[in-house]
Amino acid sequence: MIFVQYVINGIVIGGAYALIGIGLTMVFGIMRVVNFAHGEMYMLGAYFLFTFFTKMGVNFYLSMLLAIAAVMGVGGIYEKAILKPLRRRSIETVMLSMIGFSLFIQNIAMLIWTPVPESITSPFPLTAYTLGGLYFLPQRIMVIFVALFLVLLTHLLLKKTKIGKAMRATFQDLEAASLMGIKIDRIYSFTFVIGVGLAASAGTLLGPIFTVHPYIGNLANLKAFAIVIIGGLGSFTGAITAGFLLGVFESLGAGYVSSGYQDAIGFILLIIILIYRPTGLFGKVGQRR
Amino acid sequence: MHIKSISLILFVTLLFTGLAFGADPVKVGVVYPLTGPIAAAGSYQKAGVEIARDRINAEGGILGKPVRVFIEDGANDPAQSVSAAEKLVTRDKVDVMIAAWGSSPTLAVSASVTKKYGVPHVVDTASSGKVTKLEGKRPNPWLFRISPTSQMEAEGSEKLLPKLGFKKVAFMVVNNDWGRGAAQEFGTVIQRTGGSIVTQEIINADATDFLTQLTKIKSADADSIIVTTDQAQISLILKQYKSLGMKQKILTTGGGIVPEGLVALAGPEAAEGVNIITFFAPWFPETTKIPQEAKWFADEYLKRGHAPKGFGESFRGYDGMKVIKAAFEIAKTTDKEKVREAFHKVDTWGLSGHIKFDEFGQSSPMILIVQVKGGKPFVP
Amino acid sequence: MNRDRIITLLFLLGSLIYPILMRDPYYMHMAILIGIYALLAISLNLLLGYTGQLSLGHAAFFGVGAYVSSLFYLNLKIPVWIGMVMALIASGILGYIVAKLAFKLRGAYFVIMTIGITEVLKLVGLNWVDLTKGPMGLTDIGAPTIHLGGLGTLDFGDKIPYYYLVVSLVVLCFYLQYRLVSSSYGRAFISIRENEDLAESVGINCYKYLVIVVMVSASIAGVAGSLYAHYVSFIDPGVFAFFISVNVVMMVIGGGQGTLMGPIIGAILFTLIPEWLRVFGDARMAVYAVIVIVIVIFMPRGILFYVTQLLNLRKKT
Repeated sequence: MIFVQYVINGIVIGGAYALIGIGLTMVFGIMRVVNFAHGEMYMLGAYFLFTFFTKMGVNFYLSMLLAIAAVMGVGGIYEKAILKPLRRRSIETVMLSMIGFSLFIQNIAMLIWTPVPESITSPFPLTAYTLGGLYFLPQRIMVIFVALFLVLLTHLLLKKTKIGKAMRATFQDLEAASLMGIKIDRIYSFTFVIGVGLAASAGTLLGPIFTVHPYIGNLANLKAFAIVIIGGLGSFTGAITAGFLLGVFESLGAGYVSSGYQDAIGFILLIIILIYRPTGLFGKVGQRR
Repeated sequence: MHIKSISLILFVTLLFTGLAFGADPVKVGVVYPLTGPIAAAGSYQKAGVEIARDRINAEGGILGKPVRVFIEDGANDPAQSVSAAEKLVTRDKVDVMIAAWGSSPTLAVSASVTKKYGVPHVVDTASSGKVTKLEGKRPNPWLFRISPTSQMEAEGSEKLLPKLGFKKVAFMVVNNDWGRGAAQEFGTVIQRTGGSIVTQEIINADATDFLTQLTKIKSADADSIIVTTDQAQISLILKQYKSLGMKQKILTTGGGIVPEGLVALAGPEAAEGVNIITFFAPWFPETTKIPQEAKWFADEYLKRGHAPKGFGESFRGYDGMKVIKAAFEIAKTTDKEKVREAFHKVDTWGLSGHIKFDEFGQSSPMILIVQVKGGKPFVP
Repeated sequence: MNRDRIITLLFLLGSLIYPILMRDPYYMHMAILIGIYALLAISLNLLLGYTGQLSLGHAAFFGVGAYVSSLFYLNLKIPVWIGMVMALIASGILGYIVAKLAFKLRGAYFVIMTIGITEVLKLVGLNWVDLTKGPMGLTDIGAPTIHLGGLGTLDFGDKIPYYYLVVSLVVLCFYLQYRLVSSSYGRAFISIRENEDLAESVGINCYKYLVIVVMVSASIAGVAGSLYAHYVSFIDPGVFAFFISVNVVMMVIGGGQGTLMGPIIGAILFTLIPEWLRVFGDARMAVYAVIVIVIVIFMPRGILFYVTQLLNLRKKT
């Protein structure tokens, strides 16, 4: 019985992981950018929600939208001012500058909002629903629903809209796409802003569940990278599957083996995948790095 | 006002401050975590140090000289704290140190800096027994600790624990010497009072999800949980504990937790009924033997705009400065060796109770248990 | 070549007489740290500068070296020198394992793999409390001593002797770097860096050379870790910190990757910069981040390269 509860806990947290992961895999897959600052966008999403909702008293759901919009704005500026000029540079340069930016944003956040951890009281009730001895927390159930909703939305965007088609073309073959007249710069900006928006929405959803402080982006980053690699670069299905898998494995591992090594599970899975199937569970073989 | 009058006043003021600073200041070096995950606690304690410094200077300084505080960031990391301490001792030439918050960096600074250079070292936070007693001997004759060891906390709570209903206890402790030490010491005390340890869950310092551990505790038939970690993590644990519908009694250890903090971070529902071990109770100034000063400190702290959830840490810096002043005044000099001897003669009262050092350089602050009732502190 | 040799000799001379000129223990402390980091930088330079593989997990070898050396000393009570040799061997073995695990990976994948490995090691260090004492760390790690029979004992516990110990090891590794780079191995490394497919096609067994470079790099890093442990006499899982890996990369890039003196200059700069930044108080790390960004984007060939360019331009006009 406790096994089932562990699995449920795992699925719930896995939903959150998946949400953080799809934003990154999209950016990774289409732009081939290793955005080490992805976790910081998550953190900013939570902080903006805190500022709008807790400090300024704006309606909770409106605050969420505003926070996501604010981070998307930040992301847009970031893409135009920083990522675009770096496009021609080597992947090492891009990675290291991303790490530098991640460090910078973390510390700026610390200076703006102070390192004191904050809490966001969500309008959801605290007590869980019981079903046959198992517990389901309302706030977290919402996370799964919103996550799936956003995934669906993004899927529709990619499959049904013109710009989505352009994004897929860019992902498949950059040169052909640009030869066909697709404005690559616009696609990149759009992709990045969407990816950042997804990370920020994860931040607004998880912010009220956990505390908010400048360093929450670190763990989010590491988990996001593990998920994206395990699932396969650019693969939505991969990110979602990997997210839920990681959540469940971590939950079971913490429950049956040791909670101290919980975070190691993600890395160990990551290393195993990198050794035996570097393109990930759903990645396409032969993809360029 | 006339420009001439302003400049005259300014000039006279500068003259006096110049005179005040012209007198050789007493230099206190402080190594606290100002960046990194513990930066919040560092900022609260820095507030405490600054309040003490300003009060001491307003009352004439130490031995008639102004006190200057040099604060460096140790980030609660041993290597960075040692570097910070080295700088304070060799470049700023401080007369005394307060360092370095956590037990690991404190041990490092003690061994590599204050013992080596012979600088009096006040420890206001670290709780590992090793800081003052290593294999039965005192590791650093220059080190004096005003914060309690986990053993003291446990023994100080011994009488109350059975009364509060702590019989089948589960532990949730953070994975460092503080958490593990607390689990060990409280475990011993629980067993001494006829209780039993049901399970021990170790959590990582940056973990945010505790459903697994809480689920385990829930199904393990415990009636109470002892939690040792920082305020932010405890609040998360409380929220999740509440959502699982758990009803075990809770005790937090370590002294950095205050009801305002739990209510602010976890919500009044989740914080209700939680027992908190604290060494300073600003809401009950009469528990210290210096109620007026305690009340003044609490008011001054809030007046400066600091968050109430930081009460649990801020007093440490304040008491550290107080004991330094006491030692210097007994020594009547800034000579380090004489100051060190003077520390042994200190017998004074701080916000955390009686300060008097035994042969290991350890003092015994008061151990209080405060409960959150109706969102407010309450003495059970 | 001549001008470079003169500069190298000047550095050598300078470092030999440094303790005589600078008696302040703080400067000695910084010098010892710079020396230890110089070893780390030289080791990463072989991997990043000459073979072109970016690793963000170099702290793994550093940390393993520190722990192995300390554990041998503390638990088996053997002389420090043997512990240091064990550290070298252990990190070398770890290097071999990493090379085997990661040999198929390049670019971003390799970087993430190195980060992952270091994080796992950190978690092992934190949780295997019976061995590593977890977050409590290992204390009282003594300094090396040499028993000279009737002449007494040379105790390296003081700053000045320890400084010379570190300097001699730096000189040794610098020479090693020089010999390696000028040999056929060095040429193989560089060809791998420039164009791996082409190198493979002319018969260079890239896998073999990568394994060699990782093992040598890891071993030197392990020695650096050991020196660190016996100097600060206290270590905890913080030796696996991401910041160390990042800082060493900055040393190699900022000092000039793929050059002999580069790591030395980088070590001097990036050991001192975090200390100088203390004046910024809370904003310390924010400024450090800006420096990282500026150097990585605008000065990828190292600070010195651009500074000399600037000076050359002045001369021309």
